[in-house]
Amino acid sequence: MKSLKDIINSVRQFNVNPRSEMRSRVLDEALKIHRSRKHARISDKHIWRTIMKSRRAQFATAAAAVLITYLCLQIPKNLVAPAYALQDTIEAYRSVRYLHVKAFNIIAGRKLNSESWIEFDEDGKNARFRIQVDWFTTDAELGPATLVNDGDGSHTWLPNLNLCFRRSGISPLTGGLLQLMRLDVDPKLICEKLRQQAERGEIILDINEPDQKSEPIVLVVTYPSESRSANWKKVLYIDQVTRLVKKEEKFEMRGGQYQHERTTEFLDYNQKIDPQMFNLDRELPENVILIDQSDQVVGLAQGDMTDEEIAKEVTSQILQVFDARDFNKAGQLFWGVPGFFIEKLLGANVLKKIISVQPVHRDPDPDSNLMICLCKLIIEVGGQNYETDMNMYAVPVSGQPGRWMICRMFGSSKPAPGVPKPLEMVLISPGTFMMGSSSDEQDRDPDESPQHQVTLTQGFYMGKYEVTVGQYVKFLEATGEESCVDWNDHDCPLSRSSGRYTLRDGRSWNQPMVEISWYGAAMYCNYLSELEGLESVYNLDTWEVDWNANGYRLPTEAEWEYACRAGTQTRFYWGNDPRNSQEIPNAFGLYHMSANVYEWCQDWYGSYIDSSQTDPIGPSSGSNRVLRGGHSCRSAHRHKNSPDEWHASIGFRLLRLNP
Amino acid sequence: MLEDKLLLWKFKHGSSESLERIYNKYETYLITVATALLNNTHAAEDVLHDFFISFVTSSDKIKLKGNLKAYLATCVANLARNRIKRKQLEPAALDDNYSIESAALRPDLLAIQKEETTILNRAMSKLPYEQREVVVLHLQGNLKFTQIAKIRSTSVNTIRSRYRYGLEKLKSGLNGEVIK
Repeated sequence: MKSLKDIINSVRQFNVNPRSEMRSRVLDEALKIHRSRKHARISDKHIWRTIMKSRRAQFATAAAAVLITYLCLQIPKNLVAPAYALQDTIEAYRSVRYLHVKAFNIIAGRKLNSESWIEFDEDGKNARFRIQVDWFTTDAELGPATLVNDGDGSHTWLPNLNLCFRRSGISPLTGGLLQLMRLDVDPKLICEKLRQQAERGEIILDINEPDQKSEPIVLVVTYPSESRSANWKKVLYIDQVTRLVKKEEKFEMRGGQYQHERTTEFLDYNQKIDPQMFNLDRELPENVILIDQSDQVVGLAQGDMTDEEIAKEVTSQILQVFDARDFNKAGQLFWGVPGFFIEKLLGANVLKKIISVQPVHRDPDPDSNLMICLCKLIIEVGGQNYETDMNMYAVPVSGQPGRWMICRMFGSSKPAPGVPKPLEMVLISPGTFMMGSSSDEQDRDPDESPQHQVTLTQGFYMGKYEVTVGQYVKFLEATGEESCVDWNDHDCPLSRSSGRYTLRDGRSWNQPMVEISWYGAAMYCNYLSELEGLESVYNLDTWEVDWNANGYRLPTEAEWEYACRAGTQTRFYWGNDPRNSQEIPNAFGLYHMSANVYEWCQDWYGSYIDSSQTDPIGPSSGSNRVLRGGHSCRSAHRHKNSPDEWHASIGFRLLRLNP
Repeated sequence: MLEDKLLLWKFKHGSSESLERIYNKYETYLITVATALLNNTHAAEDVLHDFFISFVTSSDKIKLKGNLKAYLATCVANLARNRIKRKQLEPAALDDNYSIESAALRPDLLAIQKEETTILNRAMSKLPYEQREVVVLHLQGNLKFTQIAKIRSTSVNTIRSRYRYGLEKLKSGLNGEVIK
């Protein structure tokens, strides 16, 4: 049974889409008539001549002309719809003294949330300001940032680095960031900018003012097709009673649909903000590193160059100094930050080659005044090269007229096919360590206990990296042994055709070989042993191991953890914070021990024994082999998989005993 | 609706762009109202055609007191009523040239939606015109009862009664269809 409510909804939802033919039939005909009537009106001049013969009519017409001229001067202000709606809102902001703003963004595919507090003075200009963002850059984990303008000066506080930039007046860093962010969070500035754009015909405004006062006025801003922001749309929700903006949403057209980019909520109008919010001093620790930017000259002088030329020039220069690893000079071109900050920002990224610096264009985001320069680069991270499309954002330096700097860098990478690298092994001395995790280790799993002492009596060589695609393909070409690779999975880096093996699109010869079973890894070990004239470790019929053979094999779980820890007892070989770079090698010089892919180990998976052990080799049988390593996995973390299964995140690393 | 006032002002002062904008803005709305009133898509198209021609030819006489959307709906409703009076239209199912808009894009849901729309269309066609007009103008045209009463020169209570009776008939008609 349908209820009355269902029926009302059904009727409301009934909607007919007009045929395309209807438009030509109805609109085209109406337009034709409309235009012909307009022409007819123009050709009615003789009527005027007749009327104008009368002196009275001439006087009346002259008076009317004066009146019309006056009215015409008024019309642009009063009859233009955007000015109508926006002027009320701009006026309403004169009474606003305090404002709290929350913004939710998607930047480079990642969420960025920010929260702001603004205090306006009696003239409606913002006197004090505080913005907190939950992360500062995408590539390196520099953590959150707080920006404060206390009326006398501005401060940027990065707690993760224990670093604070400050300066009385406007600093290039804080002043510039505030300027960038204020345009997005200060509703008065948003409306003033819209009004100016509407008056210049740069935007199309659609205003819907519902009859019910409780519902907000909806102001939809779109951009003409020739505009740089033609793919963007902005929606403002304005309270009908107070005329203040409640919410702003931004969308960008991608793949034929508007995708949400940002929501900004304007809250707590005129609720007094605690003055301490604008005083950063009491929040800073005593040992904070203060950087005074008072006398610092930032960026490049524009001279006679156009905006496009200077944006390209500053981009080219910063790339050159990245290439030369001159971090101090790079910092001078990037907000005026010190060299060590740039070093931290770049992390393990090393610029290997500048392929091209392309022409500059303006940022399509309607609220951005940035110039974007797309650069094609080769960047090395952890021994692997990546082809990177890097967008460099250039902007005039705040408080330093005529100078330009780089303010943002966003890139997307794919591995360069590269030239296959030879196998590299690192010698590791024997020693004793505590295997597993202690009971107070954060995020530990039960199978990591009991923590126990392990002694390895023989030194060994361990692969500096996982076995790469380029290395494994030699085995495939030599043996034709294809049964241990999952060729059907799109994540397999290789494809095969009549005994030829080629890289799939976007893959690299120097990335770890994945989608191979444990047996595939063991067979590769024997292949390499034979190739180098060493003794084979594996019996390929029984899969038994000759522990005394001098050839290649997979590391035991104990050997793997000993090699990974490299003398550390922290959660990761670099410390306890998972956010720190995983691309740096450990103290033994091994890469990706807690990054990249899981690695097959020799052992069957089983529980640890609560006693000290020497050269342990794990249980004598089982159903799963041990996996170690993997992206952001702690040194003690254990994983397992059936030896005849494969996965896109499982590779392996070689071990050979030191004779 | 500040934009509408500006559009109408410009249209009356000879702007063809404003006419086009008004058409684009309300095309779907008006064809939906007209189709619901007439139960015939071709007749609804004729009504829109006649309306826009007269809208252009008598633009000088347009005096808008309320909002443009309600004004357009009222004009279309009047033309539809005249047409019904002039010629008793046979209720007809919506033809395939017209697509019924649906939030659900999955083919199976679209098919269900279309089936439900056909049932609704049939039930609507069985309502007396006066009741159908009130239901359509109120629910699809978003006109208030007072506005409908004004254009039909009758009392608000009469309009309310027509609406209530209309909905009840629709309910019994639709539930009958569903059970059947």
